[in-house]
Formats: sequence, structure tokens, C-alpha cells
Amino acid sequence: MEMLSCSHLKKIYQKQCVVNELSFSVRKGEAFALLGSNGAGKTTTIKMILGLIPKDGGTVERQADIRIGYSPETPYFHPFLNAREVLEFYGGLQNIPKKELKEQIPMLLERAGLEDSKTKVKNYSKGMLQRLALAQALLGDPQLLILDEPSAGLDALGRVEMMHTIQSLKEEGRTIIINSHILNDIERVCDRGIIMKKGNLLYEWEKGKEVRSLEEIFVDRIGGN
Amino acid sequence: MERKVEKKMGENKMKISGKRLLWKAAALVTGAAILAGWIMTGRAGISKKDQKIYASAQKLQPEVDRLGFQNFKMADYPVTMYDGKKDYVFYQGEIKERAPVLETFAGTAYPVEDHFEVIVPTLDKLDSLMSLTGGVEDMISGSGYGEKEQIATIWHETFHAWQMSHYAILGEKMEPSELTAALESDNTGESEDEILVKAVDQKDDVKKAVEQEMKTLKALTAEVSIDEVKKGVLEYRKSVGERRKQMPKEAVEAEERCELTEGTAYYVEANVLKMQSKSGQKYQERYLDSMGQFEGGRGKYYRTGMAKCMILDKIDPGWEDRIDFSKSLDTLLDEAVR
Amino acid sequence: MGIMKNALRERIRRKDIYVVVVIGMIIVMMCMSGAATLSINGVSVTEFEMMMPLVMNVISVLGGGIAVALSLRTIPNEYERRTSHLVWIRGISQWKYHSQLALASMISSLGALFILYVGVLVFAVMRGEIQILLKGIPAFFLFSISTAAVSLFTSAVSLVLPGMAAGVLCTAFMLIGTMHPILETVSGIVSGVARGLVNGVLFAVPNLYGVEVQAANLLSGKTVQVHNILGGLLVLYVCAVMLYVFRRKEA
Repeated sequence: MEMLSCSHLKKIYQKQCVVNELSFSVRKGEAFALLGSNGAGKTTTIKMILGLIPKDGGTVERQADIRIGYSPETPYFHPFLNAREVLEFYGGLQNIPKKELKEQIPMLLERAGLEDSKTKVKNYSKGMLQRLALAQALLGDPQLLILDEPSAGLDALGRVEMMHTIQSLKEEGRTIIINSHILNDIERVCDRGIIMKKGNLLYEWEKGKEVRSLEEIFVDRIGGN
Repeated sequence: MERKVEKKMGENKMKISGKRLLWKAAALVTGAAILAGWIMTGRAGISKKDQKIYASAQKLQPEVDRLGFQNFKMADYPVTMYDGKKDYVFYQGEIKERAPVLETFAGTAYPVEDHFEVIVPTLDKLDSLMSLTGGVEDMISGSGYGEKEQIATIWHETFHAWQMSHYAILGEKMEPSELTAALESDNTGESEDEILVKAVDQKDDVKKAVEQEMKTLKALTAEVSIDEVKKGVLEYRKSVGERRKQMPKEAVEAEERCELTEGTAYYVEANVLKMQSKSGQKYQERYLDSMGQFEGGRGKYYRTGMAKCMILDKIDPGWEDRIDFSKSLDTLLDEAVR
Repeated sequence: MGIMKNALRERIRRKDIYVVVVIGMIIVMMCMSGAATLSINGVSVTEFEMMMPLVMNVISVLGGGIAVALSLRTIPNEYERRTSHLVWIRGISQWKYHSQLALASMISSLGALFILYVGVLVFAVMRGEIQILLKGIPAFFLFSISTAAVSLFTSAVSLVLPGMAAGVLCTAFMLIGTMHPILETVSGIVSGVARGLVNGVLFAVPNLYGVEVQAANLLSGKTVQVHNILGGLLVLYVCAVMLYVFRRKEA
């Protein structure tokens, strides 16, 4: 069962095609990876899926009325707020009832590996901001999670924890789209994915379909052109 | 599977809820109401306040008559109020709208076709200008400008209209058509103001002498003894004579002309303001207290001219009845003390 | 209202605004105390009735400047640091988002204006003009209309123009609107192309002064003109419509 389907997606920036006729679909309950080196068009694709930028062609279809959570690559939160206040703010925007929000926040913080302290966001490390971004993405119990470089800025241990968290989210039946270039992580967590280069789809990857590791395929595809 | 093509996520769903529709309707109604109110209040033409100002100015005619100037009647001259967009002409009980003949925000008497008219900005326009620029040149100086001051200004300009309609000022008479032609021609000669600035303001000795003379005149207006006033006038005239020897002829003429025309009008204006207030505090502050203060260009001659009118009141009662503007105020003083 | 609340908290944390407000208060105090000599036709102006409109005008220009400074970057900042992404994906409409940000800018601008305005009231009371205190609050509502309009206009324009162009346009809008009567006088003095140009500018930029002066009128006991107040509200409404109509293509 498809949760999301992109067909012939196209985006042109300053006469340059940054996403070109991109088609793929994401099944319900799977973890799907968008892979590629810098400038491949992964983040642009995510933005088009989320409606943050207009498309220059193609369609995005998704199941009606699904709840979507999004964790950006470089999250910015108001520096004078603490983690709880950030979640209260975004929960408020989603119209989550206050009582429900009050119950959700401690669980989300714990899940993202953050303490419910009074530390202001301005004192957070990049890794802590990334965790907070994940926590806000989980507000309202989303069915589809879109994570843009979720382990960027995390140390080795943090990365492992983040991957555990993502794994457990998947096990709960959530559909996850991850944009990352840490291939080991992707291979461990994701079921399928696509490798992109300069906006074009180069390869459709599926776990266990090939003997070669994802890293080998990636180097082969990206380096080969 | 139920599917939909996703729209921009930042936008609300295309489906317009009843609540949203209600908000939009309320916003539209509010906008329409403000617009309608604005248009309706804007169509009022000349404001009630300006109409009241004109009526109040008219009502002062009997008291102005008591000043003694022959046949000086406001009703003889159209009084125009300019609001920045249109002229509103008050004449013979009617108010007529027309395109502005003189788009400027200063009070003046101006030739229109075959007659002279009084043209003043509406009080609101004047008010807004004064609060932004700090006063309107050559008009009322001092503190606070309101309805009473506007009435005084109207009488000031009416006095000019009367002067120009009936008299040859120092032997020179211009018909409205001649004045219009003169105003329309590109006369590049020096203005009265420029002549006076060069000959008086920029010459330290002359300026100091004028400042001293202004103080003398102010003191004489407050002097009770007629003999002392006359004595003072003689001394004053002597010092003026000495000073004028250093000045070019055209500057002396400009000085005499300005005192005669503006000084008398300023005197009328001051008296009109005095008529309207019981305490006389504003009259005191605006006209008497500042009488000795030097001012650049023509401005000082408003004060010296008015001072001379007040001195004539003491030593030559009834001078207003006889004045024909053929002689300077200095000449009238000389004749009074002879 | 969470967006507005956070934007407001952010504005309050900007220290440069406090510096501007303090400088503004010093200027106002100087004007009111006579340290800055104000003279009209050579006569120094000390009477409260006369000083009121002058000082109010100084405040309105300062307040307008603060409004432009506070409103110019509020919305673009949200987009530059991508805060907008997490708002857009939650289905918040652009109108709701922008209007809350604009409202925060407007409230902080009016707060700064109020501080300057209170300075005038305090000084008035010191000068024995106690009667104006009662009129102080309704007069502030009249006085704030033009500053609110400048703030809204700036927010709307900042949605579609780059920073520098928006700043220049909004400052011109504020200054021309506040100095409308002077330009009207200029249009009477100049001729030909210059006159056409001045009249064009006068037509394009609403008379913000017209509504500001009503506050001074109310305080000094003069007649308040409803037409000018409605004119100010109309400008405010049009600016709100601009904010509604102008959209960002990208978050």
C-alpha cells in the first residue's frame, strides 16, 4: 500500500534543472531513503513533497488526511525558549489540545534523548537541536515522518541512539522518509531508497536485493558518472 | 486507496469553511463601511468650522468700523478659503467652489479678474503647516494659532484688498489686471525683501540702529504723556534720518512702503484679535511684547508700522479717518508733532 | 497567537530598539524643555498649545522610523532562518502566519511610540496641563493609527521586495505621509514637471499627518475631524489587505 507517490517531479532554479522527472513511491510502514551527494536535489525533493516550494512539473500524491512530521536539516528554534516551550509552541500550531500536549511532551523529549530542563535553546549544541527537531516532528503522532539529515551534528553515540529511535519509530508502523548521506545508518534502518545525482534518479535500491553493500553501490553509481 | 494531489502545505485547504467565510464577509463590510464613511465625510466641502470663522469675522464689522478707516467693509471683498484642493469663495451670502486660483498656503490679497480678493488657507491646512514648519511667513507670529487668529488674519488681508482697491499707495496705484500682468511676467528684479536684507539686515551699523529704533518705538507706545511721546518721536525721526543717509533710495522706499501697507494691516489684525478676547493676553503676548524684536526682511516693518499707528492714536487721534496712503507713516508722525 | 507571542518576545530582546527609544525620548524632552530653541518668526515658542503639535510631529516621525526598523526584517528573518518551514508544514495559512508576525511588529512599534508619548504627557503634567491626561488614552489611539499603518505597510512590502528596496520604499512612505502638508505647499510653489511629480507622490502616498494631527487636536481641545480619522483607518485597512494579498512562493 502506497503512502506517497511522486511522479515526474521537476524543479528548475535559475534555468538549471535541480530535480528532473523524478518518480518514486513510498509504501506504508517502510523507511525510504533519499541518497546522493551534495547538490543531488534531495532536500529540494523533500521541500516539494512538503509543499514548501512550488514544483515546476509533476505531481505528489499522498494518502488523504495523513499526519506528517518533518525534521529539517538545520533546525532553528527561538533561542529564548526551552525544549518544553518549543514543543508547546509547535503543538499549539497543530491545535493539539493542551491536556494532550502536556502528556505528550515528556514522552517526546525522552524519546528524542532530551531532558525536560529549563535550559534555553540558545545553549543547545547542534546535536541537541537535532534531537529537538525530531521531538517536534513527532508532535501529534504523525503517520509519515520526513527526516532531513537527522544525524547531522551528532557524535558517534548520538548517531547510534538516533538510529535506534528511528528504528523504533518504524517498528511502530510509521512511514519514514530519510535524507542522509551516512550510508551505514541508512542500510541498517531503511528498506528501500533511491540514489540521485544532479536531480536525476540513478538507482533504485532495495535492502537485500543485491549482494553488494549500499556503500559499494553508491560509489559505483555516483563515482561512475 | 483514498488519494489526493497535494497542494501547497502552507495554504489552507481549498474548502472554505463557514467561519472563514464569515470572517471574510466581516472584513469586507468593515472596509466598505470605512470607505463609505470616509467618502461621505469628505463630501462636506468647506467645513462648518471655516464657515463659522467667516461668519464670526463678518460679525466684527461694527467694531472694526470703530477703528475709523473709511468704507473699510469686509462684505465688499470675496473671501476665499483654500483647502489644498479647492477654493471656497465667500461672497454676498454665498459660498462657491472653484478651482484654486493661487495654490499657496499663505494669506494674501490677490487680484482675481477685475477685483481684489482675500485668499487664506483653511484653518486646518494652516494648522498642519504651522505644526510642521513652524509658522507661516509674514503672517501671525507668536504662540498658538486658532480660530481667533484666523479671523484676525482675514481682516489683515481684507485691509490689503481695501488699500489696493481704493488708494494709490505712496502715489502708485495698480488695477487688478495690471497687477495680474505684473505677477505673471517673469520679473527678475530684486524683491522688497531682498532689498531690505541687503540694505539693513546685512549692514551691522544699520541693523543696530533699527534695533534701537524698534526699542524706542516700543517704549513710546507705552508712554502716557503726550509731550513725552512727541519728544520721543522727534528724536526717533532724527535718528531714522541719520540712518537712512547710509541706505540706498530704493531701500528707504521699500521700508516706508512696507510700514505703510503691512504696518497698518498688522495694526488692524492686532486690534481684531484684541476685540475677540476679554483678557487681551494674546494681544499683549503676540503684538505688544514682540514689538521691539528685530526680524529679518520685511517682518520687522510690520512691527514698526504697527507701533507708529499706535503712536498716531496718541498724538493724532482720527488719523485713520484721514489716511489715504499717499504719505508714509513717518510723514504722518512728522505732521502730528509739527 | 503563539507566533505573535514569540515574535513579540524576540522584538523585546532587540537592544537597538531601546537605544532608539531612549534617543527619541531625549529629543522629545529637549523639545519640550526648551533646551532645543524653537522659534517662529523670531519668537520662541514656549506655549504648550503651540508646542504640542510640533512635538507630536517629532514623535510621529521617530515612531514611524522605529516602526519601519522593527517591521522590515521580522517576516524576512523567519524565511531566512527557515522557521517558516515548521509553520507552513503545519497547515498554517500565509495570512495567519504573516498577520501574526506583522501584529507583533505593530505592537512593539506602538509600544515604543507609547513610551515617547508618555514622555509628552509627563511633561505636560509637569507644566500643569493636567486636563490632557484624561484625553491622553483616546488621543493615543488616534495617534497610533499612522504608526500602525507604517508598520503594516512595511510588513506587507517586506514580503515581496528585497530588504534594501523595501527599506527605502517604506521610509519614503513614512516620511512623505508624515510631511504631506509640506509637500502640498511645495506643489503650490513649483511648476511644470516638478509639480506633476510632487502631485503624483502626493496622490500615491496617503496623508498620514491628517490623522496624526487629530490626536494633537484632541489634546489641545480643538475640533477633531472624523474624515481624517476615517482616512487613517482606511490606509490601515488597505495595508492589511496588502498583507493578505502579498504571498511568498517559497517557505
